[in-house]
Amino acid sequence: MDRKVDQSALKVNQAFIIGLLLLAYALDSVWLVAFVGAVMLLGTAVPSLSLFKRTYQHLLKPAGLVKPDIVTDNPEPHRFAQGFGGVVVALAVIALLAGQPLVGWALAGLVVVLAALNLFLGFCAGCFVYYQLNRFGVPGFNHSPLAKS
Amino acid sequence: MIWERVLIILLLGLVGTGAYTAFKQLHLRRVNGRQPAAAASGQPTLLYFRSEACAACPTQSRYLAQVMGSGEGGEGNGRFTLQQIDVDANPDQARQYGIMTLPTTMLLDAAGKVREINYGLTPPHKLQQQLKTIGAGN
Repeated sequence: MDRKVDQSALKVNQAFIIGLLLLAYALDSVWLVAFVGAVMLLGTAVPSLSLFKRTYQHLLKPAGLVKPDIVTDNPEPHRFAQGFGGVVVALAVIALLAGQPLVGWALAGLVVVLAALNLFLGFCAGCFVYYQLNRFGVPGFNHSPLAKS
Repeated sequence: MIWERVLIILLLGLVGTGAYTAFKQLHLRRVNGRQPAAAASGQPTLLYFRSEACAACPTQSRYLAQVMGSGEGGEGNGRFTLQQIDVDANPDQARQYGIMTLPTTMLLDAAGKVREINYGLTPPHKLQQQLKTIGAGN
């Protein structure tokens, strides 16, 4: 089965997450954090509804601002990584609403750092966790790293 | 309040970038100080550290095939040599080069000095640019 992932769509997604979470911190806006978390979780559940990726597909790519970079890869680990990030952002929102700004912003900061690692250094922590769970035979983590072609 | 937070973001960004740059320079210095055995081949060398369990390595292999031009083999149009190192099979070599993440690519000049280290997936255009700086580009 031919499995393709557009790296540019992933990078745009990460850039939006980093940019909006930093903006949320600057503006001290819990609702912007909640918005980012909702987009991440919705994009994980229904990938076609991922707002940041749709922005890339319908705006940035047609305008020629970002060129596609399609590679053979499993999309599931990237989706897991986004879902994991979405859960951490949701926890950040709960902490912020519960009057624990230090915990809330630390959790949001963790997502920013992990997304930045992926964006700038190409290290996907969520994918790493996914493939480790696959190695240990955890149900639901069915895809192992693709062989070299 | 906003400017205070913007300043914190900028400061954290600066500290992070500075720490990363310092760490990379230290890594370069340490690797060159150890004079790895595989280094001086008389030709620029691209070292590619990988393993079977590394998720991003197949993509990095494809990127390297693009850089090599022909797609396979160890000749980069005669300008440089690609050396692939499986860290599971060669843990001593991985330790010698201080490998902490996969994939990692290193560019060595003709004298065997490590000039660039790339942590994680590195796109072909970046590798080609780095090869140019050591006189091994197209």
